[in-house]
Amino acid sequence: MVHRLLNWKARVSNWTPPAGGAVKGMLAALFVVAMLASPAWAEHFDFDVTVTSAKDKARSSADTYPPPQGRNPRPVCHAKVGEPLVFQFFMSSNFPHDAIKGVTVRYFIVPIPKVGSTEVPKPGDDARLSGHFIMDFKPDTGKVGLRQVFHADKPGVYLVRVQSENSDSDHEHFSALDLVVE
Amino acid sequence: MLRYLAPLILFGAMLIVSSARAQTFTGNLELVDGSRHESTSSQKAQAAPKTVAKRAHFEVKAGAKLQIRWKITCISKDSFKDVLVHFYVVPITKAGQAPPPLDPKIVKMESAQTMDFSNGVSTSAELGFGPDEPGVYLVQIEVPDQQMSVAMDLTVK
Repeated sequence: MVHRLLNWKARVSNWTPPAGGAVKGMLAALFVVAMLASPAWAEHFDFDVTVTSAKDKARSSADTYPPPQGRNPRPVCHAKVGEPLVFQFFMSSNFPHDAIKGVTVRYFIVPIPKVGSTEVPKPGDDARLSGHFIMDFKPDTGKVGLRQVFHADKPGVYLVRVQSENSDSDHEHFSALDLVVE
Repeated sequence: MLRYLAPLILFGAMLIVSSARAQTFTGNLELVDGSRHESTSSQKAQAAPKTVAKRAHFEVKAGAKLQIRWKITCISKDSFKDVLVHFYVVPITKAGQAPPPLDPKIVKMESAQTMDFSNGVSTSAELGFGPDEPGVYLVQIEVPDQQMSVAMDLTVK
């Protein structure tokens, strides 16, 4: 049990972007979010989504839909065309009762008309990144994370979004931010 | 002679049983580039991996939009808690090379998840990957605690 936990923590450490202290900050942020989460709010998942460019970094946490664009304003990350960018997310269950089975965790980075656009396009051929996991989330220890290097070869505004689907609830959860490429 | 043969046979049988017991998970890995694809399935990890291994191989052009699909299934009658499922794509110098240290500066893509498994329980993923730089990449999905891995070499030209 312990070594598995250590494996996970080691993996998290390996995912640290070059800037030092990021993991400690991220774990502290996750801890604060977890402690502040009210039982009445009953969020099922925690998110921590980041996009890192050479000179900027944006981080977003959990939101809910409907409405499709959520309730919170999205953070914005600025980047240059062609520069290496790092997309990273962690999603964990904080639903205290049972395992949530067969959840789809979908992520995508797609063009949108402008920063803060309420439109949520489906990932198509123009997606810079997209993918999904299908898995069960056990209370407390169920989690998934992804780190991927990518670049945007066209200027524009992109929606970066990670969302739950089929989580057996009347609402789903997501985390999103905007990426502005010049 | 016979008195030596019997223990040897017994030892061999124990090894076979032990090996069969160790196969607790199966995995499949598929790389898709449009209408082309290559797939491979799991093998039990060796205690001391060969320096150069013979692996399934797929070749694409730089800039291709690949889909990487994998699925891990528990085939054991036992249950396993908080199992780590680990996936990565990392550059290697030549096909068949053993997995290098996963330095975040060179790893192109990496995922990890933890979940409980019992017989028939599975997890899967379909992940987009667009390799821009020519070279050879190791694509691997693994369940480290159960010594199960599925790997493929990807050559980008």
